[in-house]
Amino acid sequence: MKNSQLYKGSLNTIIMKLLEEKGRMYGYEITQKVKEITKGELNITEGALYPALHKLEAEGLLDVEVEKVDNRLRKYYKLTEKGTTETVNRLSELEEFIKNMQTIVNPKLSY
Amino acid sequence: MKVTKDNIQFIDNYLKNSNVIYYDIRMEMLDHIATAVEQKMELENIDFYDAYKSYMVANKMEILKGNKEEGLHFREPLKKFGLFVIQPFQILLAIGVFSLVYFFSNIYRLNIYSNYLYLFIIITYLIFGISHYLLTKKKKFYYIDRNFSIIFLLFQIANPLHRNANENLVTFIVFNSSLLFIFFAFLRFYYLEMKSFKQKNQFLFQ
Repeated sequence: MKNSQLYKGSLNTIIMKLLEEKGRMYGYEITQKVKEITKGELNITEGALYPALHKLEAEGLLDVEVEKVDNRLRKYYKLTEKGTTETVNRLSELEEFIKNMQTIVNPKLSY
Repeated sequence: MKVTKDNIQFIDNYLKNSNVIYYDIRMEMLDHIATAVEQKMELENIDFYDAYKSYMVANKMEILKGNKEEGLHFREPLKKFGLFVIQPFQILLAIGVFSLVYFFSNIYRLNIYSNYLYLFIIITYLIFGISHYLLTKKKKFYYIDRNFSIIFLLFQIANPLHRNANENLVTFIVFNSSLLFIFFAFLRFYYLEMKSFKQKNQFLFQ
């Protein structure tokens, strides 16, 4: 993860947004997708990603499916019903936050 | 290029030797490393060991950070258990246990034998603890151990309280019925959590 508290605070929302779009994803796939979307600007590290995924799972926002893929097991994550509702809330909260920041940082552009 | 079964075993052994004791955590780390190594083998046209070495030199610290979860956290399972305890079935169970302890305490003056009753409860806890250990000895799962760990908290709270609680009939009934109720509720919680974990992760148990 890019060394910034701003990004760290949004990690859960990023994960939930991706899962909302893709349906289900596994850990490595999430890191690569974020890298691809941000053209390498944002790099989610393993040390930040997995604890976040496990926390969201424990909170009942994510559900898991384990499948056998090429000689090994793979854990897929997907949003629960509660997770889908929470994603909408968190995204609107994030949008509001960005809008407010825009107003503060660059008042001219916000009008 | 795909990694072979032997390569998978190699990564698994490496993680085991790095103290990643929980199978569910290790399995996820293993898949992450194997997928990254496969991509590296393909992009750089190198063999497994070169790709593995190069990947681990750069990412070992980050990957093994996930193993910090080895230290059990009480907050989330306690919160889950708290919500479980206030469900209708558990409320009925609480009323049942309280009525039983109240009834037998009044009729048979159970509090005279209070220390024996407490000893009985502790032995039951111990039997449950040993059964859990034997069940998960071969393969340890972080998810299951984390849920199990909250029973120790209960014991730590109950132990210093039991002498004072047994001083009169009212505190005796409240203390012992609470202890018994939480134990029975926990047994049900543990069973249901284990069942749901097994259902979602059938492959982990093969």
